[in-house]
Amino acid sequence: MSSTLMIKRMSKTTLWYVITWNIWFGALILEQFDILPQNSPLAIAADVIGFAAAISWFALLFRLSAMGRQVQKDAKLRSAFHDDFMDLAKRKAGRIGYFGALFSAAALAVLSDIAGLSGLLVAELVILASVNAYLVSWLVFIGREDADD
Amino acid sequence: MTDPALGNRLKVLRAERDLTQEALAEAVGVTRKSINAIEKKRMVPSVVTALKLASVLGVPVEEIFSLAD
Repeated sequence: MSSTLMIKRMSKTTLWYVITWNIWFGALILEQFDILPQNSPLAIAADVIGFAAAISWFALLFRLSAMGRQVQKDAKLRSAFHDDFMDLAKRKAGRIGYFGALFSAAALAVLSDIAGLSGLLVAELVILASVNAYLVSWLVFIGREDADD
Repeated sequence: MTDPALGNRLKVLRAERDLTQEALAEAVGVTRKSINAIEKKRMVPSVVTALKLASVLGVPVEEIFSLAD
């Protein structure tokens, strides 16, 4: 398999990984706000959707791990996946993720004081913001370079 | 990382040899996205990649990369 095809597959799987993770985590966070009345059809639907997203997320996690093993086994793919572009993408995404974590932690620390958010909720929101910042910026950076042969 | 001072003739040399970005990337052992980013001067390649490119294209490295005036 060519590295181009593998990157396309990995990007697509990572995109779904981000989407399902956001739905799952979003449902968990929603529960803590107590917006939906307990046992209401909406609350049950949120639980079911969150649970389905969690199962999908685990399946995608296994698929990504399998792809990672496939890359490690193939010398050409391994070399391509550690080239300048991929390293640069990881570094840039890492930097955005780092600042995403810093800014969200700072903003939520202030907000939790004003709005009285629980420590658990703040921690969950910081994780959500920083992981999203890293993965979404990686996807954007990887998807930006298109061929013009 | 980008550097406006570094020019390159990679696209021209590749076209002269009738190579696609994909074929050149395969020969060098990098991703097609790397070749594209280097051609568009959005990324400065490492010394190893530059030497590999020169070897595959059969030219000295300074024929591909040069400092802009």
